[in-house]
Amino acid sequence: MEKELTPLDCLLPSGTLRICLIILNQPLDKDYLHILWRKALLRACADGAANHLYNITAGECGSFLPDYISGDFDSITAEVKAFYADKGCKLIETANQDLTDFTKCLAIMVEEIQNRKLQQGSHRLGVNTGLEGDWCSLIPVGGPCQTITTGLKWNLTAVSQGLTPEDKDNEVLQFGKLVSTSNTYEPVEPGHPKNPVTVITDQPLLWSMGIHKNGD
Amino acid sequence: MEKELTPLDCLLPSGTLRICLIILNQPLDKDYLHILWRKALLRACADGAANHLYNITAGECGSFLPDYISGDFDSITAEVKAFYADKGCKLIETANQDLTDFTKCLAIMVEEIQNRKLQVDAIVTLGGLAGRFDQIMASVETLHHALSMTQLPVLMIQGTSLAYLLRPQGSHRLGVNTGLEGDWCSLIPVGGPCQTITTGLKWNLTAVSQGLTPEDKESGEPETSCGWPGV
Repeated sequence: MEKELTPLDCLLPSGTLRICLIILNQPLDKDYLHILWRKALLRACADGAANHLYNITAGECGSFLPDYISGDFDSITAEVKAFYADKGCKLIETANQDLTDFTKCLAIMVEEIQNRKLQQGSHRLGVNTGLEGDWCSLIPVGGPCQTITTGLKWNLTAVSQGLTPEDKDNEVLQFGKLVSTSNTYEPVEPGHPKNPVTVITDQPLLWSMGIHKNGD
Repeated sequence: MEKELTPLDCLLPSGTLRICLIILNQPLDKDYLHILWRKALLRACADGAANHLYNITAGECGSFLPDYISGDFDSITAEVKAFYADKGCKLIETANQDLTDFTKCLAIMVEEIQNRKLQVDAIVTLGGLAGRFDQIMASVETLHHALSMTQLPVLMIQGTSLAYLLRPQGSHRLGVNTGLEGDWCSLIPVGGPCQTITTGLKWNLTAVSQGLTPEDKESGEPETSCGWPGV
């Protein structure tokens, strides 16, 4: 079963992806925040992310209230915590030392919505929002991945891996052997949309892509 | 055989590590640059790193001449390239599409160290840990390739992070008393599972914490390399 996704659809005002939003403890991009916040069915902050949200929405903080703030609360300031508590935001303290604030926030998020676990299998990524930057990559963090792709400038194919149909067992993307970075999209005729990127993988494989910003 | 290293010794003015320096195409930390440059037996720039070097040494560029600049030269500006060429710096064009500028620069460095018969303890790289996510991952990939290119430790430093890929099959002893150590460190099994045992950490990996008994050592998993970051 093929999974379809246009990753950058979520940043298109006209995009149709239904999303939930988790904000982490990092400086926020204001444009991204506003677009994603508007679309999100649920919004959460991981600990100190609430500080960033509070600061970046100064003047209209009351219009940007997360559904919950979770974490061990060692980063959120007392002032920010009191503000959101006072406004009725759920504060969920998660004191587990072995898991990051992000992991715990995500666990709460998936409890709240239907859980769609990332599965091995084939993926189809739409890359025609106009927001795609000029690079993309496939990174086998965690272990070797047998991978076949289309739609990339440098695809991973059975031939490029020297595989015959009988050679299914050869591992391809692997740190120390081959990691696909600084890849890009398959060239197409001028005026034509890019082909979707399809990826078949037998292990979790990290897809990463550049985002084109106006003025770049 | 245990390998000993004090990673941050290279940033101590009084440190004794004998190093060679590779500069990557990232904004440079001026303090790090000066300390490392002074100590380095060899200094190289990977392509656009030369632009950063040129800018950050403005006014005294002639005192900071790399031994070579290598890469596919799609990042270095014509002006910078001409300046260093004019000063006698070697320009080595490396057009291989499958390897990054960093990997190629490292390969040349290893060769030069051998050719000149230099006594070196480590190769230090400035940059590679910030910017585009895929390029950071590419740096980690280069560290993996480095394991088969040289026996020397290859350290990467940028901002407040240091990364060092620990060679598998063996024990490592890391000195952490330079006074420059930050408050965090980590062990990251990039590339595959690692059987790991540690001491000296707040949260050590021990046979017990992994539920291992002495008989559990053999589980068919090949040992792979782990990254050790923290400045």
